Amino acid sequence: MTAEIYVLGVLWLGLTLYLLLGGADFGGGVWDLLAAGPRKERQRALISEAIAPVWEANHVWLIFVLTGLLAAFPSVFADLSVALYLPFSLVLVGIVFRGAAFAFRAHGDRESAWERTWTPIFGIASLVSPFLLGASAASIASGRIRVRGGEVEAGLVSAWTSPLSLFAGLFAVAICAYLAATYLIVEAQVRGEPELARDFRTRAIGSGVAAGILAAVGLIVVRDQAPILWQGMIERGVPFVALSAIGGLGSIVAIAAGASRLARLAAAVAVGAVLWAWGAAQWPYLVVPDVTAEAAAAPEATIRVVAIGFTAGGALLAPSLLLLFRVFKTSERAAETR
Amino acid sequence: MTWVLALSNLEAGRIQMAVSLGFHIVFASLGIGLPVMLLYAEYRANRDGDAVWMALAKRWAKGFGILFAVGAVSGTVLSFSLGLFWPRLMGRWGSVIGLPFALEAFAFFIEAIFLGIYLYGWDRLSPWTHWWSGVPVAISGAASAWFVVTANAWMHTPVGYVLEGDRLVEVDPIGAMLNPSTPVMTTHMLLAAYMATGLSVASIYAFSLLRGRRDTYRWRGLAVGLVLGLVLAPIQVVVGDWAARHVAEHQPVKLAALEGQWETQARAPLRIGGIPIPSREETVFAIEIPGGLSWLAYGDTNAVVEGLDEVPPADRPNIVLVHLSFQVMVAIGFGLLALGIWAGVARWRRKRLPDGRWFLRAVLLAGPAAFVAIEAGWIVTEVGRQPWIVQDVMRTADAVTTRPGIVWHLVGTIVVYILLGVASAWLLLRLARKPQGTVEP
Repeated sequence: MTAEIYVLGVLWLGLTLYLLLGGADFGGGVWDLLAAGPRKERQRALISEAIAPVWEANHVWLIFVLTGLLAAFPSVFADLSVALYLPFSLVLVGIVFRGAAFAFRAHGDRESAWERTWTPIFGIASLVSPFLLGASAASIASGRIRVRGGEVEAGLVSAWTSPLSLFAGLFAVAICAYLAATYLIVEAQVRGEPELARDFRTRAIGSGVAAGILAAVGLIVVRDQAPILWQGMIERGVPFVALSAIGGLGSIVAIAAGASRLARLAAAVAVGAVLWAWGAAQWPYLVVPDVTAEAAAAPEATIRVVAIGFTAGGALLAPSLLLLFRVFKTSERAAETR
Repeated sequence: MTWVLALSNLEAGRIQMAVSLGFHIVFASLGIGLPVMLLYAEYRANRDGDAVWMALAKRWAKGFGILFAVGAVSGTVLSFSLGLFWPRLMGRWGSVIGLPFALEAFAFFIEAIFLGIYLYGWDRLSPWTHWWSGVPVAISGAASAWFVVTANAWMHTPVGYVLEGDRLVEVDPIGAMLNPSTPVMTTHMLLAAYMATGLSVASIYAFSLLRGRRDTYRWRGLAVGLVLGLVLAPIQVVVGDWAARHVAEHQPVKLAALEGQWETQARAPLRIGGIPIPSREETVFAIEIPGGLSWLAYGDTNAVVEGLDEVPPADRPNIVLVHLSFQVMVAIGFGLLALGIWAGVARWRRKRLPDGRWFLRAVLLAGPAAFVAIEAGWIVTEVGRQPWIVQDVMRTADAVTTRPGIVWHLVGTIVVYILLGVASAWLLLRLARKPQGTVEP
């Protein structure tokens, strides 16, 4: 059982990093779509520049979670693929268009018809994908997917269109946008663009407040619609909820005070804690209320090998990632190339 | 299009998987081969301080950026597709063959990370540090392919588990990963990827050389691609023979399908070309070499080769498709071998590659042909295993999802992939047409 918990913990960490990194890339796409004002094109350029070197790597966290789930909890991978067939298919459309549009746009001419075609596609795909992923998460957590006698029962559409799912979808978009805006303040400052930093400061506070309100109302919807999740939230989720609230408020205070790096950290803590609050609340279920982690886990031998694989892979991965972020996200280096 | 909408879930799921894999394999193969070529060009540029080599490296890097982006998203489609279309394969066997997929994620990670550093780090890193940042891209690209192909190999020769009735009681994921088909299939695929990449790049330069733009830049581009592609051609023929003997040993029905061998017989002939006629259970119009198949499969011209008649028709794959695809793959393989001999003899006698128009025309064809061979090879592998998704263990029909309307997913995929294929081809051609030295990272 300990190896299972380790593997699940690593997968959840992977999901957290997908949200904090890949989610911010989605958020960047949302701000690209909503780019406005006199500095519209400069906002878009900043977003592209910040995302370009890291987005391929950020995107791999999703593959990591997916394939890890397949190896360690194969029945959950299969059940969710059946239950969430439609939203997952649509997420794929979003991911394909977002990734392709971003690369295509970057390699075309500035201000060409080509660029004008792919820009809104990039933005809309960045909006749709996190919405659907949020809606799917709520579906898993709120008992909309039943697994009885190995058979999945879930409406093709109704499984992920409950009020809680729609709410979670909006919330996911809001937190992605909030993360992106906070990160982009730092990116703008590093590049010596105080006006852009101000643009994203406004956006960060706006989306942060929106996400906070959605979170507070969301808890009420959870209590109303997902009793098992709510019970878990009270029993185990409270510290994470508190951490998220402190992080969220702290980030807004830090943005207002001009401490943008601190704000970035606080925002990441706030958003990451949401995921861990959800995980803690849902434990021990992987799919509420029929599938527990223990029942769904692959045989001991597989879990052990996967655990070793994760550890060895992580030992390769961690320094590589640090190097990537050191090369592209360190202020001194970026400043040098100015 | 109406026939498409009439497809059953199983048919639609199979075509869907074929389309997604067939699309992804092109980008994946280029992702394996291009880093090697990039490293060579940048090595020469750094060592000799040569601007032409540097121009080649930068141009290829730019193209690689586009190809990798499309490869990454089409790969994501596949990792979801395993569950979306074949949930019962994954639910049942995920604990046996999930491991290589999980490890592949790490390889993909390393590839994506260092690709980011490589593509965007030209100005931030010293020339040799930059060169070294490309090395993990080349290694992890090949490693990704290796891991994924092991999972596919397992579907042909499933090992590493013990069933008690319907329950998995013992699992050995490492043993499953290192199943009997792994060595030959991974080798065959990796060689094919390097060959197809090299020849495609050579093909592009052959096109502009034929149009009269004869300069060092284009000749070097052509030479690097050609050497990578053609040096491996004879090795690939030997590996192909190994693959056929392996299939003879482990999947006799598949061998019979790819050779168009309907009856079990001693001294079975090797058929070159020919069309299998299922209604008459015979293969017509083939050039037959007596005892050839017996000799190739078992090293003895009198050996007995099992025919399709060993199993009922319901347990046979689509023989026409498998046999014809196999013939196409083998013909292209030997064609590339011949091109390699042509180039090799000229290089040996005149100390340089041939530069005549007929040679350039042959090179122009070789790139697309190599990809046709890869696609044909996967049709042989996958269709040849039918009706099984896991050879002799699980039928494809028992693995497909219960969700209705896969056909719509298929239609959507085809539309989206045509769009992406056209858009990336347009961008790449535009990139190739830009004057030399104008491509900046």
